[in-house]
Amino acid sequence: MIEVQNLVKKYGEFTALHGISFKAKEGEILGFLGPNGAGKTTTMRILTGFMPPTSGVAKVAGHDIFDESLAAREKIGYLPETVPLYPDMTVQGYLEFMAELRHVPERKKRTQEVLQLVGMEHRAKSLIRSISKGMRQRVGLAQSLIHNPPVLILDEPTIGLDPAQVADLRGFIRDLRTQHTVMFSTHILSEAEQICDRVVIINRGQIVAQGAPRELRSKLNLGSRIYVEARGRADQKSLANTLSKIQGVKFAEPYQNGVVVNVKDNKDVRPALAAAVLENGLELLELRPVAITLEEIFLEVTTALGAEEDA
Amino acid sequence: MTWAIFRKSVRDSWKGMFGWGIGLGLYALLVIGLYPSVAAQKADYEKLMESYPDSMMDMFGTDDLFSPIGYLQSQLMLYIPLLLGIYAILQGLNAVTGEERKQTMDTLAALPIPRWQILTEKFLATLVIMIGILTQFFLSLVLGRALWPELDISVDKLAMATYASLLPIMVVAGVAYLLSATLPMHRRWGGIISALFLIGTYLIYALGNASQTIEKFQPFTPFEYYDAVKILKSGLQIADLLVLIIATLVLWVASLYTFEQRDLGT
Repeated sequence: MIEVQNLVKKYGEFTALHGISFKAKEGEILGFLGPNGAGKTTTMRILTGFMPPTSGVAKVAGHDIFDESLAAREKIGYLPETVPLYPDMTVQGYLEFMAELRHVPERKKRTQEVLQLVGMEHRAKSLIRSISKGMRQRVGLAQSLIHNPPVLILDEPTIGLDPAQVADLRGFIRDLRTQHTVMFSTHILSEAEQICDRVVIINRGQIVAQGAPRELRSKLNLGSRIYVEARGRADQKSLANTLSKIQGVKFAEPYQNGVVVNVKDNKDVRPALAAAVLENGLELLELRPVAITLEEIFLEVTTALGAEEDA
Repeated sequence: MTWAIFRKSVRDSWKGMFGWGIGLGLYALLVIGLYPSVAAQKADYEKLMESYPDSMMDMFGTDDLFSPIGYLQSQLMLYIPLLLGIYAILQGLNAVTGEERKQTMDTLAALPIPRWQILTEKFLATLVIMIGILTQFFLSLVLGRALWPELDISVDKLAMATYASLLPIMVVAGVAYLLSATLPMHRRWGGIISALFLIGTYLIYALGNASQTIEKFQPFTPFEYYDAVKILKSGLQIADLLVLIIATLVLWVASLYTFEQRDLGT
């Protein structure tokens, strides 16, 4: 549904995108991750036809975004990062305006439908300037959905919202999966992990990793981790020292009330850990795997790239 | 074209349109209302003006400052393109850089409509807004003429002089549109350059009547092709109007071209 190949964008001497390539399948939620200034918004702006690339190919729903720009743009709903709206318009007036520009048939009916969809029907007559940031975000989303596009591109849609609004919006994005391919950018990694089928991690204009969060964990061979909690005379530090000597353990360090053991190459060291705890006269209270977060994957790949470039 | 952007642009400017129209209209009524007393003391004024240097008189674009036409030109018509030029600059700058600054251009540019259409609808909206202001101004001239019949100029000549001023105004708007479409996000620079163009060409036009050195540059100013005295005396000057129409079209096409080529939001 979205296909990007060797996309390059230069602003004078500065290269914002260094030939990135990725795909998003139909009905997929693709998370576009990266720190600020990584090239997320530039990529999204190119995909929406806002600006041309220096070179490369980008297709949306089979239409080349440059050669068949209008056809491609018809297939896209776009929510920019700042949710730009016209404050002097009413919510309904704005949506009808966008529907007209999108050539939506029966635009009044469709406006009511999307207002209902985003839960804003009770504020339809309100001026945009008088509604809260969370509501504006919903109006922005409604705008991107007004023509029922197969592809939705959402640039940092949860930024600036309060936790309840963020949870609402995440749920809403998850529900969109049934009818739309969604590409959304974020620098909140846990958010991507919760919502996305796949993630693309971009840093300094280059894609440093892509795949399902689970795939990325195994691909990057970050090993596994085990949390061990014990009761007895030994303190956390000495327990960590003991456990780090076990074969197959990379290192161990105190964490919360116990110790986190980092394991090499996903070896199963649980029996050895349990035995070591007992041999040291301690009672074993807890022994469980700890998932490696997307945060850690992100740090791993972005740090590795930074080190390579600095070298 | 859906004309939705055109309608929105007009709707966004209706307060400005009535504000400028009413302001200029009231000013016109004030100027016309003073004319009977000026006409009554015409001989005294003319005697006084004889003591002024010729070059100063030339700046008013007429040597007959106290006839109805001379008075209207020197006190009113001379300044209309200059004043409305300021509003035209604001309109032109808001068209692109304003939308970029508010970041609403992000959604506009992502719509399945070509960029030239966005700019064209906005440019036509500026044209209609200016016509709206000039219509209010014209109605106030007609009202002033009815209230103070000493200002004996036919309604059709007043209409011609009023609406012909639209063309130099649209040239100024064209410059602002071109700068807005060309200069990335630099609204301030666009404003400064447009204002320099407006004031600079106006000064060249005004001072050119008094200085032979500056006179050579007058053909490069839009004001050279709008002479209200000539229009009020002998009707529209078609050749002059054509120059202004062509200049406006060239600036508009150049704006479309640069807007199509430019990286927005940078």
